[in-house]
Amino acid sequence: MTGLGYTVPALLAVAIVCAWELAFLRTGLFRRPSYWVAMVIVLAFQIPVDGWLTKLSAPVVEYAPRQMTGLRFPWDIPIEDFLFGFALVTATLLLWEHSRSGPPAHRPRGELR
Amino acid sequence: MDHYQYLILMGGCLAVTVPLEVLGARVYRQPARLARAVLPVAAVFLIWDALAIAGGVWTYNPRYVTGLRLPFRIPVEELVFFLVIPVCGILTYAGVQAVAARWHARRPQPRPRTRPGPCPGPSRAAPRPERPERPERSERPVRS
Repeated sequence: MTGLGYTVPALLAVAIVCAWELAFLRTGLFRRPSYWVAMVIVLAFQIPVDGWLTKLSAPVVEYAPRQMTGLRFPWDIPIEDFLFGFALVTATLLLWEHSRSGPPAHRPRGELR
Repeated sequence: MDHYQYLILMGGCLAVTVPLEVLGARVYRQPARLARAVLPVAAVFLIWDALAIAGGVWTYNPRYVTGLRLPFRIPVEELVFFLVIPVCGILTYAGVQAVAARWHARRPQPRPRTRPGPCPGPSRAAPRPERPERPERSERPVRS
């Protein structure tokens, strides 16, 4: 396996989303307990949904084996899918929070972070 | 029915998360904000999807998809996925906040309130007033 096709982009996506929040958006999402609780719930639902899509007995989505680590857990879910899902949902929640706070100039002083 | 497997799964995700809106998540009731959160991320992930499809990183089992394809050979199911899953994520997040706010509102007050005003509304996270070291953004509508 090279991992170039899926593993590397999936790791990059997580890094980019985290950097986007920490360096630019600064919504404070990562400090909110409600975010982490929601992500645990999302993870709990990702397993049956993604598990269905990736089950090797009747896969809806099939992956080129040499593009990934080949580690599949739980069931047949490629572990890269969890990075993919984290990046997708977190990026969306960041924009959701960002649009609540409005442009930085309109935020109350001292509450940027 | 097999060809609709992927779409049915996505429909199930939407159906399962609808009660969160009823619980007070207030996500579908803010359609513009929802679109501003979901659409840009979906666009980026669709580009990723198109590149992965073109590179043969992943493929779709023709047995379980409708066969309808968007430009760049993206199955229509993938567009649905990138709309449905983020909406479910926001509903979960807002649902957690709504439930936490409700729990907070029901909690007996530790001391008499010093300023008038209702308890935090359902869209608010669960900031505890006695923990000011964790600053929360004001919920007041900000006028420009």
